[in-house]
Amino acid sequence: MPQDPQNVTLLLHQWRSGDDRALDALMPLVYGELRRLAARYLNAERPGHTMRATELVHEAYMRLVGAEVGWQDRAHFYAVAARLLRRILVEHARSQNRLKRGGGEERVPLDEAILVSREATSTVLSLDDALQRLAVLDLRKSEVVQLLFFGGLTYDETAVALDISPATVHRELKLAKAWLHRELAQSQT
Amino acid sequence: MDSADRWQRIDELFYAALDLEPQARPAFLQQACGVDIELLREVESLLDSSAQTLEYAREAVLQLAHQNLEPQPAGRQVGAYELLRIIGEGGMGTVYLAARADELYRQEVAIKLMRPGFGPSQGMLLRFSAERQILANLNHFNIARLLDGGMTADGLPYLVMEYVNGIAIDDYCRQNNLSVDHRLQIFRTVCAAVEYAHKSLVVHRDIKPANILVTTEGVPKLLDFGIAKLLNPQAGSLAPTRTLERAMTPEYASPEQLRGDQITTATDVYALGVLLYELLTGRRPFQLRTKSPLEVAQIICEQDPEPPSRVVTASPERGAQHAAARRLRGDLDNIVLMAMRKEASRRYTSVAALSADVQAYLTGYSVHAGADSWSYRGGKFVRRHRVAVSVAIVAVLALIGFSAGMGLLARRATEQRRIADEQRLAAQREADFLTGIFHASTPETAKGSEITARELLDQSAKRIDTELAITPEVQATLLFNLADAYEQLGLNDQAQPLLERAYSLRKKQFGDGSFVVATTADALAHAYRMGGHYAKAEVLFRQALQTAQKAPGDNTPAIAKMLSDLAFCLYSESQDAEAASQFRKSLVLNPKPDNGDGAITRSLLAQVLDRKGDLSGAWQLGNEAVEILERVEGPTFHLAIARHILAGVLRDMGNLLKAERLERQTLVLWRKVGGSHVDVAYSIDNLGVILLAEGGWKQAQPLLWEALSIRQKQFGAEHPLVGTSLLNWGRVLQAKGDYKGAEGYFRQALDMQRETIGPQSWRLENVLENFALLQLDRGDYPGAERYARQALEMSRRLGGEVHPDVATSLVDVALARELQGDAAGAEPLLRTALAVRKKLFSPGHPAIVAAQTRLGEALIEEGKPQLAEPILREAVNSAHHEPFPLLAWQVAAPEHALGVCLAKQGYAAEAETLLKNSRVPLNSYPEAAVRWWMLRHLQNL
Repeated sequence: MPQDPQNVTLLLHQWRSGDDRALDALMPLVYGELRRLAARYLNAERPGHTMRATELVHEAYMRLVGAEVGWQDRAHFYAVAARLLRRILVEHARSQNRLKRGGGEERVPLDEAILVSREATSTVLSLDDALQRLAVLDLRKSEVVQLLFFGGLTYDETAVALDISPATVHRELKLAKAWLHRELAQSQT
Repeated sequence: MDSADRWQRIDELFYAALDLEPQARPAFLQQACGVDIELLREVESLLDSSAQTLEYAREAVLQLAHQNLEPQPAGRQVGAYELLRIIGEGGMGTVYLAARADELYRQEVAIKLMRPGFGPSQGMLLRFSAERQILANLNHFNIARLLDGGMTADGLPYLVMEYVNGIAIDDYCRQNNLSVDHRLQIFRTVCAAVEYAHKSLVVHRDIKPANILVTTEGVPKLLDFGIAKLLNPQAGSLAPTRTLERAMTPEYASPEQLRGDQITTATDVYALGVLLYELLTGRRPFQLRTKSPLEVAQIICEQDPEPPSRVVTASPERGAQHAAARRLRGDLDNIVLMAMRKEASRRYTSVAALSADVQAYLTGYSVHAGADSWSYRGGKFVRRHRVAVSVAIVAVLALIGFSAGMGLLARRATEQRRIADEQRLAAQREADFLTGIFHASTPETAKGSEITARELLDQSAKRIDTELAITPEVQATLLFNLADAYEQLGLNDQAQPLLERAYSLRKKQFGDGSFVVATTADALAHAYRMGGHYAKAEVLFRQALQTAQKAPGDNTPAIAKMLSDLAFCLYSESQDAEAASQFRKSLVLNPKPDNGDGAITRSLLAQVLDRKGDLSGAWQLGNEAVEILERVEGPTFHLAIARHILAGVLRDMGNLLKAERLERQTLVLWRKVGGSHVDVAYSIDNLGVILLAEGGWKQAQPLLWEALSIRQKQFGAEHPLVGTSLLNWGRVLQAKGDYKGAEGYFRQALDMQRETIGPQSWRLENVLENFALLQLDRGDYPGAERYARQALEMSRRLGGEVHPDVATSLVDVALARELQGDAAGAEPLLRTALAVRKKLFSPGHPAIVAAQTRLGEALIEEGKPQLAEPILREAVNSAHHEPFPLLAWQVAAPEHALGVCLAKQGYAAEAETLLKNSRVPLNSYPEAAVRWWMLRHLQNL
């Protein structure tokens, strides 16, 4: 169901101007598209390689916003998608955790149980948590990680999205990774 | 400092420190942080983490993403089934609940749909069907049956299995608060299922809690039996890191899986041990989530798990746990640990045995598993280093342990009958095991572990004779492999006697036409050559070739390698003509000349051609070799050697700066690849020699000293390489002006080369040549002439008339003559030298320029400057238009000579310009004789 491009563009601009509620309105619009497109790309995936989220994000972008909008907006869109994906995954991981808590909590009917790798769930939650803390210390570094990990962007694409050079992306990533690794290792039970 | 500033500071320091060498960091941080210890610690801990990877986090995100964004399957048709919903997510595919699409009967099944790329290719589908049949026949109540399988229209493989409505066994035990006894009983049921499958020769390979579901009635069911094998028929040969990538739960991977060894039923025993560990303690034996694949492999192959009883007491839970701990201590601990032993042969011999021991525990009988009495746990023998080396240690320990284990077995009265058979079987298994293991260690990874591994190897060497009652055949294999391990550690002297024994044993065993005997001879010859006993080595190499050519079957690749080995040996003996021809034969025979081995042969041939004086041929081959290796192997040992050889060719071509650059690169590569000291010494030595040739003796000094020390330490008192290094060190002393010291070293070198290689060799010629130059420096011109003539004669004999060293010696003799006042006698010698060089090098080459300069100078001395002029003009022209970079003095020398030449003819103005331009510091000229000539003519300015 194609969305009204003007609506989406307007929301994007509003968000860029600092209106966080615009993001909330954007999410459901974008999400549907992403989901739809994801199937195509995931089935074509090569084994062991990162999902080419930018391909599907780009297509979603084209459909939602149209081709006329400039680079800046496109880069911004990537950022939205990455943030969005992150939110989706974290929400999902949280709901997994709720299902998994045993001993004393209400028994979940087995039909609903989805056997997700427990490690993946808790890793994503820890990562999200750590990223939030990193964002307080150093917003740009956390954004770099968000784009690379959750958006599946390449270094060059990340550079464009954040309006910095690829070399800076690499540089920022070094400390970000070191910090995150340390935090995650500490939180590992 | 507020937190924003603080972070800023951390950021600055982190990156600044990262730019420094690791050794320099502590000092830098100390200085930068001063009293702020917190800050120092913060940055340090970040630096520690900086080498780690976050791949596992990325994978986790990806996994969740797949799950989330995957389309709902409702209504999708796969084979005769209709997908209902997703019930599981694995590394290789997704599991769906499905039902038969036709109305006949509603059977619920689980369908595992493979992700594209993970399933078998078209070709494998045939094997797939055959194996599927076996799995489908596994009919056991506790095994989820494999019902069907196939491929969807879009080419995705799928498997249809009995649907098990249950939860993972670890969750089940936890949620229902099962007692230890109860858990053990469930465990035994699982064991029964695995044992049943083993009887049908099916190994599960992927036992983990997620693959064991327990229904609400408490019935455990095993899933995914042998699936891993279906999909990867060569799963046993996967590289360790690949195995880990595919293993979603690396904690359950066994050491042999990580090493890429044979997967056997013992692998399932190991996994069951880990499972039992987890069921008893609620925890996994190793914490691996944040570790890189290499660290994981290291931990699993090396680190001993904490005994279950200790884990339980350590965890802060209810008091009931303490009671549990008491129960766990002793027998249960031993059962778990025995199942989890690193060496497959030391675990329970079967799942049934494991289950029986658990039963024995439950019913109060004594348990078989004994505590490990050998002190190989923790501390003493195990150190942190890379996996491949520790694997060698494990293998050696297996050897030691094996013999003690045999002793234990012998003491059990009931086992007496089976001892003889077991011994033999086990010994053969052990020998094969070691064969595989030892080949896993390479110089690349042995760094830093020499001492410990050496102790163990020495022990093993002793034990082969005394304790193991094994056949001579197996003994030879063990000796051979032990020798190989010694070689990997650079301990050639220890390896030789072992190889000699192995060789004689095998000759006796197999006779003369056996391939095994040929390879053993080759290995022994190789050891002789490494030890500098070239003549012995040559004889044996030839024998090995003969034997290999007689042996049945197509042994072409091995023969190609042996030809190459013989060739290199001949090269060491200065028999360059035959060496080149054998190398060429090897290349022709090599079925794949563009692989690593072919490239190295090319490189070694290039080295021979270099010495023969065919520099353009050497350059072409050497360059080819480097290109091939860069493409085919990347940064490896072979590439380092090839680059080093190429640097030598560049040096001999006169392109000193390029040679220097390349050799410096090679040194970095050696460090990266973990080359042994002896290997690196080649490059250090060469770099020193190049720097000396450039005139920079100060830079060359530490390098040449280091090369000498390394070689003396490695080879002791008598070895041709030590001889060369003594000579090179002497040259440093000569450059410094310590002529007496230099002579001492030259003499040692002379004697050593004569002793080790014989009366005629290039190494010896090199010494003579340098002796000549030394005497020139000292002013002993007759002495210089004597040595130079000796060098000339040897060069002619070894290399023929047209050879670079012949030209050099001619120049040396000429210089000596000239300095004795006989410029007229020097002239013809220099003309010959020039002619030789013109044949060998391209026009404008620095060697030609040098010869022209010398000839010009001699003509000036004779009082014939007008004859000198055209020659010197050509020289100066070439020096200015030389395609590759020349050193300052290489350009200044002909200019100066031309200046003097013109001055003598009265062209004052032109002369003055030239002489002014050619003012280069006198002591940048490497050769004193040249400096002398300069000095003499300074007066004319």
